[in-house]
Amino acid sequence: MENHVLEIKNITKQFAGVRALDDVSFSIEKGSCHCLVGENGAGKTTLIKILTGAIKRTSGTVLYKGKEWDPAGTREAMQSGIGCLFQELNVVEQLRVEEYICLGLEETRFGIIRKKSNNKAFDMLARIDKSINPKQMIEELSTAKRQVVEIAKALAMDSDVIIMDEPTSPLSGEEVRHLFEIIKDLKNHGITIIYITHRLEEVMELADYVTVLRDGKHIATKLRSEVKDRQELIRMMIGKNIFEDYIPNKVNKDKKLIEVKGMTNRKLKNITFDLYEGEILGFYGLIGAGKTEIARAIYGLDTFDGELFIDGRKITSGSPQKSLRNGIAIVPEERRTQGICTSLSIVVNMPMMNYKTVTKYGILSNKSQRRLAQKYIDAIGVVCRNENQTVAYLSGGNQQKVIVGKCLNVSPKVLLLDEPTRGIDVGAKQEIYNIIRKLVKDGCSAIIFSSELTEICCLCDRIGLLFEGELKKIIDNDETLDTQDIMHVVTGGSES
Amino acid sequence: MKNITGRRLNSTARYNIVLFIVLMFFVGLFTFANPDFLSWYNINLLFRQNLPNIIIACAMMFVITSGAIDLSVGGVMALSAITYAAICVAGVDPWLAVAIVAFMGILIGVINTVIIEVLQIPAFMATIAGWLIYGGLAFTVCGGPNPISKPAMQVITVIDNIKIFGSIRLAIPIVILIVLIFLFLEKKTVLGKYSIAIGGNFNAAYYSGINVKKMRLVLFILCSLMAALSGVWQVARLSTADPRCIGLGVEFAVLSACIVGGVNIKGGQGSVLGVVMGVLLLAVLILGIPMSWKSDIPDFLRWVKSPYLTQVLIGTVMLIVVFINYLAGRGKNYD
Amino acid sequence: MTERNNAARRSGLKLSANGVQNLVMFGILIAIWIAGFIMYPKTFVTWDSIRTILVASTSVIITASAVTLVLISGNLDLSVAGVGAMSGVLFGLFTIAGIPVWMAAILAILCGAASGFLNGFIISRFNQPSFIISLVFKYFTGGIALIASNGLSIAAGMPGNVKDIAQTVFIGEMGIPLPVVYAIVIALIFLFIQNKTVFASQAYAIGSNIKTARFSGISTVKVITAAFTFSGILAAFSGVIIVSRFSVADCSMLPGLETDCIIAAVLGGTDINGGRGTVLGMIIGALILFTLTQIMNLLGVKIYDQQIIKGIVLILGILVNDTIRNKIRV
Repeated sequence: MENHVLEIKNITKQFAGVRALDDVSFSIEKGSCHCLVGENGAGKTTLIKILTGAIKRTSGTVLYKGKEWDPAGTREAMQSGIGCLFQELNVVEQLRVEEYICLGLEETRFGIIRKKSNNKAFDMLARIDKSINPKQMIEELSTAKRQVVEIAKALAMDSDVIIMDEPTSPLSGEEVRHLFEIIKDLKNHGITIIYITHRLEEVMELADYVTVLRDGKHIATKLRSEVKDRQELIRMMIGKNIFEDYIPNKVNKDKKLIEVKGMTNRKLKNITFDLYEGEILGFYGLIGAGKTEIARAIYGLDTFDGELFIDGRKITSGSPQKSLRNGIAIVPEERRTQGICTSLSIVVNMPMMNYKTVTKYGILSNKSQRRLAQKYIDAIGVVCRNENQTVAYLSGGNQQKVIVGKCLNVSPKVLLLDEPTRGIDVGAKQEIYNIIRKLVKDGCSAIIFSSELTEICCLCDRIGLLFEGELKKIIDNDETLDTQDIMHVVTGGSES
Repeated sequence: MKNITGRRLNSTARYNIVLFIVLMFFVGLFTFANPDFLSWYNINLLFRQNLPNIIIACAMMFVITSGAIDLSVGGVMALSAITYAAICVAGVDPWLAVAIVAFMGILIGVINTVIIEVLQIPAFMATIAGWLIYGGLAFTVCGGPNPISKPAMQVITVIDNIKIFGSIRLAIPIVILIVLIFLFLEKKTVLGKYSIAIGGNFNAAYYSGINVKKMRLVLFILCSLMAALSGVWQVARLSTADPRCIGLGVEFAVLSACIVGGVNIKGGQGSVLGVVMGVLLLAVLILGIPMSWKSDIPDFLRWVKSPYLTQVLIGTVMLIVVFINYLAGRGKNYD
Repeated sequence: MTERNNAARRSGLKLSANGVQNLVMFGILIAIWIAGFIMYPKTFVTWDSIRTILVASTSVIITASAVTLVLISGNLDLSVAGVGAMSGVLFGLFTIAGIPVWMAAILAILCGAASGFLNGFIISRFNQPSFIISLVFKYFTGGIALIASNGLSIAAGMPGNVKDIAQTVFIGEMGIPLPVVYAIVIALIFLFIQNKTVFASQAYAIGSNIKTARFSGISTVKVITAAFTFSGILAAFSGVIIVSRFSVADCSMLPGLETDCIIAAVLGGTDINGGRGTVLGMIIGALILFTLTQIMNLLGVKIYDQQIIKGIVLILGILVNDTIRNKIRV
């Protein structure tokens, strides 16, 4: 009789216009390491959010230890035994290790902590890592050690299931090994690990079971021993996608709009590439690959070593203002917190990157503002009641269109788009792709940073493949395009 | 990620050590300029004057560390002082009056918490409004801008005059006692850790099952309770209760002491020891600078001896500390 | 696509969220006026009574014109009372020292500008919470005022034409106090600034979402510093006017100015967290505040009790704002 600690039955999650999970069903064995793989947008994060109580499922059931699982929120989920190591570690820097682990669990009498209550922390910690001193301040620990502390805390809270979301992204080789040993040890004690990663060699090494999701659907759950090699995983992850939508652009190979040579900073390693006039260049990679970091560096938000040339001129110190003046605009990764001012109207948001188009002798003209907003609402097709509508009430796709309008107002030569269609429904996605294509035809070039393979392949003329801050290679989008090979590279595969 | 030092000292401990050295430096400097600085009279004076600042700062430290702030303490102090005086004049036993006023302080703490947590009004705004309300009530209780000063109040003022061991005024043992209580609360109860957790990483605190609202309630009650007791103390010390000046500027003095004492204004870091040293450092500067100019000072420096130097001085020190903290990269919260 | 848009547009609201809020607050102002009229039919709606309200509200309207912009950018300026006191005292001292009155006024206002500039610069450049830094500046400037005046009122030696700045000009029979004229002019200027300048638009962006503002190339340092400099200038101007009105410079000249400005702005729909609010709303809010004050005066409510009411009004104002915001989904 199989021992399922978690059973996921027909889980569907519907957001407005987007079906993030579609009738997903599979089971997780107690005491196993169960890896969850899939592209971005496949539904992994949504599933985890449902398991940890952050969001509610639309339909279906989850059984935890045989009983229906429907936590009111993350706190209830954690208190009931499902612990989660988020990518953003939830440690409190100014507490000592033992204080953090025992947070909320202290034995108290009228609030006074008894001496014995920290023993549990010592035990948990000693079990998994004897090198961490419980009396140390968390602020002094490296990320790897902080992760260990988080695991100890999950154990202290009597978690039976620990979910780890891309835990090895910030770790070095030695630290990864250590984490694997901890995981093996946890399994021996009957703890179940749900492990989300895009690094397929880790899956091959660590997993007892593998579940593959694609486009919100459950593709397969297999014993690790039944999976032949990473290529088989890749095949399941991307399916048979044929990219017919791609229309090549007229690229002027004689003119380089942007040249990047040896760009290096905390997250990037020696990135070198050029952007030609008239082309759409894409950067594809999974979490932590460095996509947003390249965008930020070009746009002047982050510093870096190396050289950046815009239109032949060398740029020494950058800032968003300078970039905008040089004709580079950005559609940022986080729509609501970086792209628009949610409490303001379309009219007020639209001219934000360039007020010259709405001012006359330095004075803001309300009529020009409205005309500008109207112009882009019509040109880009923003669905709204009128230009005075507060952007918070627009759908995600329309918010993104407003942001594109903001950028177009600068008459940019280069448009950087970071995850341009994340969380946007299919219809709006197509509209945005068409907008980008039209832009390029009208003379603007674009760099798209995305973790959606379909998106990259139907828009971009050339694709840069990133893995852990390194630009592995740049390929042309032509008949030689091999999605298997692409996935192989971005999941850490070595050159054959 | 900070450097992993070989030693056991964390950033709070390091800050406190630097603070201690600076404090000793100035004590030494002023004593050198004027040996009377370290006289018992002066030390007593310092503690008698700053008792309110110290005890309120200790409580405020927890409030700020948990990510909130209480700007109403000045008003609470005034209200308590006047109420205390009024009750005593009306014939109530002084010690019972202290208990009544303390209870009023607790009630005010509850009201503050309700406004912030239930009505969802940001703490700084809610407590500014509180300052207006409680400060105004102080005037109402004493029937106008008239200070209360009657022989009947003599009974309680005796507290201030008690001396132990011949030269130590009662203020010092009271301060030591209350600071010890706060140190106990910080280290031995959940108060210290939960405040740091709530202010440092709200999710961590929440997921760990901490009842944030209950914590906030306790902290705000502590704060207004200390403010209430400070009001009583001022009355005992000055023998009058003037609603126009009791508690004036105390929120500023306490905030400066906290910042100088290493509390991170955005929450998540602070220590009782640091805050106490912060109050002492500022008090030492305020008392010491005018005392150091014994000989005739040139005209353009005359203002150094002005009793109003206090505010400007504290303001300058605050800005310096803010700048130093910025340079050291503490609490930098950028994109 | 455009047809769908057109159809949606016809059925939509043409009024912005701010417009609706202002309309509601204006309605409340009218309601209070009616109440006042009913309670005191003979004395309330006289030119005298109206003038009292207007004159009393000049300091707030002048200073809050800039404070509203500061609030819109997501910051607080608690220093205005101190800046006003400092500039008033300095103004008095300058005139006693023999400097011509208008020059003395300009110098005093420049001091206020300097304070505001430093205040805003420190907040924006070093990313510090505004209520702390402006609180520091409140006591800093207040302290300077105390030191300069030695805690006393300054009256002796002030030339007679100090009164000129705040005199009452007579058009026929009606006396119009110049401070009211200043308030109207400044309010109009800042109405213009708020509606028609890039600076104000950027302030809204910063208050609504500072990260987006940075991504959009807006210089948060320049905008916030400018906003605080304005509030320093206007606070100083208010101080100068008060000294001119009474020919006395005293440190406690503008008690509670910062809270009055915040109350006026909040009643006028300014969001404490930034990103929303209008100067027009602030004016309505100030008029509501001072009409209430007038009624309270007529009712014989003491000043300190009025302070209690103000505190309650502040809390209620914030609550009403939040409720209206949540109900208007434009």
